[in-house]
Amino acid sequence: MIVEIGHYTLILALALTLVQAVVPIWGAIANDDRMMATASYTSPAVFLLLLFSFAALATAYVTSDFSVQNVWQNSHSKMPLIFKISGTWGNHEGSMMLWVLILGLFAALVAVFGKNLPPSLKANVLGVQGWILAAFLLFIVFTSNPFIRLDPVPFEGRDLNPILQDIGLAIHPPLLYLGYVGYSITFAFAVAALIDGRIDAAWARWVRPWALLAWIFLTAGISVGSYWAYYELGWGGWWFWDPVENSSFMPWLAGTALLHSALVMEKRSALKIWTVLLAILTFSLSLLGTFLVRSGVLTSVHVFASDPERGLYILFILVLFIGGSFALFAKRVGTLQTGGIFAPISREGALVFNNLILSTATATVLVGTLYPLVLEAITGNKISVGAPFFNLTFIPLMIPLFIAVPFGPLLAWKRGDVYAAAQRLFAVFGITLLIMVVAYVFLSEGPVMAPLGIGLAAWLMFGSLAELQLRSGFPKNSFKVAIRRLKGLPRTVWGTAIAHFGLGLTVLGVVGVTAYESENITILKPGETANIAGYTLRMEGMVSRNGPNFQENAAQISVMDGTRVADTLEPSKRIYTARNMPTSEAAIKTIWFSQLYVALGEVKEDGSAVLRIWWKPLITLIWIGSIFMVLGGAYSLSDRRLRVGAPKPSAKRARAANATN
Amino acid sequence: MMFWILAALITLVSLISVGYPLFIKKQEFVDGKSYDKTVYKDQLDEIDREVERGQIKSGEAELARTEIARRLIALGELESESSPKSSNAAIIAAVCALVLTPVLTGVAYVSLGSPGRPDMPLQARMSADPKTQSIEELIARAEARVQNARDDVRGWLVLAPVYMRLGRAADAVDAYQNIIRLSGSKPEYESALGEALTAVADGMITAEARKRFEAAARADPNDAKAEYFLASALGQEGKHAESASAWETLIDKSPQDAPWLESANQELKRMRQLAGLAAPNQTPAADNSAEPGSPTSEDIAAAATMSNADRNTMIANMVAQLAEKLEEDPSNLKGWLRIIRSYAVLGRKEDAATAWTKAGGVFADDPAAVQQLNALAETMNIEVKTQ
Repeated sequence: MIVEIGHYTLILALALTLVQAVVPIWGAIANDDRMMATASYTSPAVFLLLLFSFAALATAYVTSDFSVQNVWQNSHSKMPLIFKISGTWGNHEGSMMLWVLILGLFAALVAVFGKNLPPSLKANVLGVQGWILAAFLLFIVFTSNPFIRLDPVPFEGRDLNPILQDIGLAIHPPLLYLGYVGYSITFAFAVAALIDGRIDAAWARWVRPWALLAWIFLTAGISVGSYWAYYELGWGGWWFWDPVENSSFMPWLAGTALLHSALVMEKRSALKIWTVLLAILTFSLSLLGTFLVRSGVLTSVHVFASDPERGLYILFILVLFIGGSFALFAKRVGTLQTGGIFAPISREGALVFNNLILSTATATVLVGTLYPLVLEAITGNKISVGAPFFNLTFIPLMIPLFIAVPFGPLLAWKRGDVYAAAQRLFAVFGITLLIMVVAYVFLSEGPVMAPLGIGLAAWLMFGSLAELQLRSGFPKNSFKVAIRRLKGLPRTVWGTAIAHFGLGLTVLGVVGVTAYESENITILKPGETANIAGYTLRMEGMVSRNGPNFQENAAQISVMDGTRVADTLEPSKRIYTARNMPTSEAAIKTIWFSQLYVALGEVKEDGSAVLRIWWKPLITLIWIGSIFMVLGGAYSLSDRRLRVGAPKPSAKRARAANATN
Repeated sequence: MMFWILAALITLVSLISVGYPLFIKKQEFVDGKSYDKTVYKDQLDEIDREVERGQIKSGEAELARTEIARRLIALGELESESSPKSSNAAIIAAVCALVLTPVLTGVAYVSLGSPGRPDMPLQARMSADPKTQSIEELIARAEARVQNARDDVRGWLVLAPVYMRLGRAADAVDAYQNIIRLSGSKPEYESALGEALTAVADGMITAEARKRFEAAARADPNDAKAEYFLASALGQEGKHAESASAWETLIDKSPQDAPWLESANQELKRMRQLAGLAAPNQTPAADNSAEPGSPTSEDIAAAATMSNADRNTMIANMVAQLAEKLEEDPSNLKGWLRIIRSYAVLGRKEDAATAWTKAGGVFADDPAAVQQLNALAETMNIEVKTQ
């Protein structure tokens, strides 16, 4: 009966969400404290109901209850337990359940921890969250209900899409959704501010940590997705500018801009309206991403999620929320107070520069993603906008941004001195130049631009450490004093440095693999060898194995170190019996930061096999860099102090201050 | 009933979240401005702490304090918020929410859900009373047991013939291989494995299957199944005379009521015909009226009584026969069309493509024939490699 109770609580959650969407906002308008207060109680209740409902669905998956249509369609009794659990969200209905569960969780967190929010703001925020929840719950209950039962009950399930039978599925969607949905909070805050017609000081204090939290999850989610695609799809690529990837990358770009502008707002009460706009934009892009992935407009790995009829409903949600919030913005923006003023050359100015470039980059990706769809809809012509378009537009935008990154933290608030900052970065510039020369001399093979790319990465990495070095006073101060000073630095300073350093690592990884990758496609008979990047690979033979729900044909390949076998790689092809669907499992050997990547192609009857072998120099840095970004963000988030950006006195004032001291 | 009691309890508890703040909880009035004041005061304290730790200079701190003080003053100039009142709206909202929530939930759930229907996890279904279980469930239970004890021959012995009956030939092959692995080679297991292998190959007696039949026949010269398939194998290889004599031997040995006698006689007749031997009581000319490769009414009647494996063997034999006819007389367009279709249906794509190419060569000057061939290739999805 757990399944039916789960279905009941899902519908009850929907009904209660409608209360949450109406009563608190009504209360805020009528200035009724009791009505405003309901939101603080209904949100946790809705979350608990959703949690129960999700747990009921997961139970049906774990116990292979094929009387539930959704379980029957996407599970198999012989799957390992971990995939039975992750299979819960490895399909359209289940992934929407996860989506609303996280939405409910965030609303409940605001309700429980939002004691220091003014009541009307809190009521409006939770009311807006209620609207979003209601829209998606209606969508689930009436178009994508995971609790539909079957009679008669089939005996065996149809299995989970084999590509999704991987640990990546257990991690990637929840992280990504935590990110997407996390931006619903900043969106709700923005809309609440517009409804209220003012931006409180408490507003600013709340938005930055939420923007940061969502950004951390989104960064982790995208990065896990990228690594998953890299090793599971067997094409050896880590980013394809695929529309589905872009649809998670756009909120990331906008969210990164939001993160930085929220920083200015918290510390300096400036850029208020811009932050509101970015908050709306970021969540709108999250919704757009959901629409593109769920609707079947795009076909890709995420095709499990496509269904045109449901797409229409999501389009409706999209138009309602994006259109509604922008209309509200246009109507109410005049009532908002603009914030503090600042000189163009200042920390604020640097962050505005960051925001302008990131917004332009978002627009570029948006155009590259939607243009082919619009063109196909209008003219019927299919064109593909792939890597060349993005290389020509996106990368040139990023270069000035990356050059500017080390300057930002070194500029003072309100009015800064770019020459002073440049002087401080002189040493970093020297190191960068040296590295570029070394790269140019020793790495003769790659493209001419590659040493410049390496230099850019070095500039980012050492430049982000510069602030730490300057703040510690080393080498002017003794080592001991420097360490003590470093320990005393605010966590946000550390977080910034770590995250920017991570960005440098990612850039280095991208440059390394793009410029110096080598590939060898070859046919090997048992005993034959192939060479790549100084490694010798020997084909030993083929082996067949049976997995729990698949049959596997693997090539055994020895990686030779001289005459010694250093390691054995086993790239394989699998047939998942229930769907009779083949998959390819690449074998990867990590050597320092680089990887040897082997994928198995066609196997001939004489035991010879087509092998695609790649040498991917420094590729792991792409993901290690994103781990640094996540850690930097998390460390910065753990800094719960109230932050103020102290402005630098103007020269005249400084003299006056010195005179009085 | 139990379900509705539970549902009602959950609904009641959930509704407390609406009823409690609306009816019971007394709200303290706090001016919205005081929240801003708290934030600004916290900021001033933070500046003091930063100065203490030496993270900002006193000049900068002074400026920051001035800025915050300015915001505090600006706040004081705003009108105080009117204290919130408890309006009648709250009562209306409460009543609506408390009534509509359970009603809407109930209506939506009854129309979408299956109230009170029990869960049906696989484990529970497996251990239910066998009398109430379907064949599929019973088989799955046996399979589950076998999977846990792959060395228990009894499970395999039960499953193997069931698999054959259900047409799950590949599983039958696995089962018989396990039986032979566990209880050693016995003629009946060997020939059953051979039959399963033949069924997997859609009636073609593969080298592997043949080995099994030969092993069975060696161990037990009276194993009728082995002899039957070995005679068929000879026919498939085109050794018609030898096949005919093998069929004769089998027929002589078999008891009068043996179920295979009918199809054995059919095959004997066919092999004799192909080998050019006269049947003892029939003239070869009598059969020439029928088109080669088309089943006679007797064939069809025989096919209906056969097991899957036998039927597939018969089909494979007929196709092989037709192929031979066409080698002798390539001008038979109907024959070509039929054999290409047969190959395609049997999944022998390469044979279909080869036959198509051959036929194309024969009828190159006949546009109508070429059109027919092309149409067939399209409907049957035959991929032809162009050289």
